Amino acid sequence: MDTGPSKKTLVIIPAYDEEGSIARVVEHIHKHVPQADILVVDDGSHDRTARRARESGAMVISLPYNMGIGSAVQSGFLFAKQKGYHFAVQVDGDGQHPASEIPRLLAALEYGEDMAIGSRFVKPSSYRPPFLRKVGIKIFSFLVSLLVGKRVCDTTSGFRACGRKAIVLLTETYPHDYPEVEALITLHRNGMRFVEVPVEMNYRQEGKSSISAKAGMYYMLKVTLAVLVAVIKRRNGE
Amino acid sequence: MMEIATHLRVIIGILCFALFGIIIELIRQNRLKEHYAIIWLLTAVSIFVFGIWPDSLSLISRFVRLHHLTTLFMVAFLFLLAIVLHFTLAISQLFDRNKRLTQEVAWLRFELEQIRTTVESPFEGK
Repeated sequence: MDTGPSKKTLVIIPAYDEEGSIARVVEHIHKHVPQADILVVDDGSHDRTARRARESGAMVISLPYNMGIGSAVQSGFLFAKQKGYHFAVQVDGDGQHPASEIPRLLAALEYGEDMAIGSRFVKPSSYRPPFLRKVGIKIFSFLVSLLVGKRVCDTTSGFRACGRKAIVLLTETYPHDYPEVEALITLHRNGMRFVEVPVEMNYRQEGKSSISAKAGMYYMLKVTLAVLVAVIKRRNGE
Repeated sequence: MMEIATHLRVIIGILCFALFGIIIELIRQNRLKEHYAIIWLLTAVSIFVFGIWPDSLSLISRFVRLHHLTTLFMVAFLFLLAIVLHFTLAISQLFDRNKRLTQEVAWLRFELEQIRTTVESPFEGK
């Protein structure tokens, strides 16, 4: 297997109204993963996210309207697929995913995993989620672990790296909203392997969580249904 | 045997022909896709059938052991459910296509910008 730098790596940053943090995020990635290309997917922002990103040296794709994080990330996968990238890393635009941990995700891919998840809960970390979120996280962890047949602690983490096979698969099927949990089942159903890599995250520099309290209920229902359906969905190409 | 007054049959008949005419006209004006018109034409035809041959309803009533009127509502309700499901399917398909189209547009716009930059300043970065 060839070594890191020879593999083309794309860092995908979905960003919606992140003008306050996007430049810093891009700079950190540049510093910690200099060999990677950086693509900011501006998901119909109303502020100067796209401009800030371009000024800080990233490539920018601007979606004409707000499509949701899933569709934004998938746009990045399409880009990676068509430009022949081997690895695609997904990093949030708000700065909560530390760029310094990206090399460890990539290392897992080098070992032959199809996806590496930056996980908050494999080892004890300083992250203390609010009660309801904690319950949701536990439920999904239980559900996915059961369906996949191995323990998965952090199913909702959006800090991930995908290999070529996973990139191609996810350009075909990727939910437009709250995609993280369902994508794991899709991968598993298509015979791919993923691994959790313990990381320490920063907690929200700018903006607020994409999931408000009201949306929480919808989140739980939608994702649970999607996960259960994903199990019986036809595999790609079937 | 189920009886329907003659004047009621005439009204039902006229309604069916009117519905049929409106649908055909909408297709002709390109305002309604044939694909979605089929279900409406079927609606017109089935109302027509119930109108001229009310015993068909009696048959169903006997089969499900309900009163005529209840049967009528049940049939109408199931029919409407089918139509709504049909629409939801159509919307889901449109949603997927719209998503892919939007992503392609964003991608093409990016490529266009790249090409424009190269054309306008061909010596930059060499």
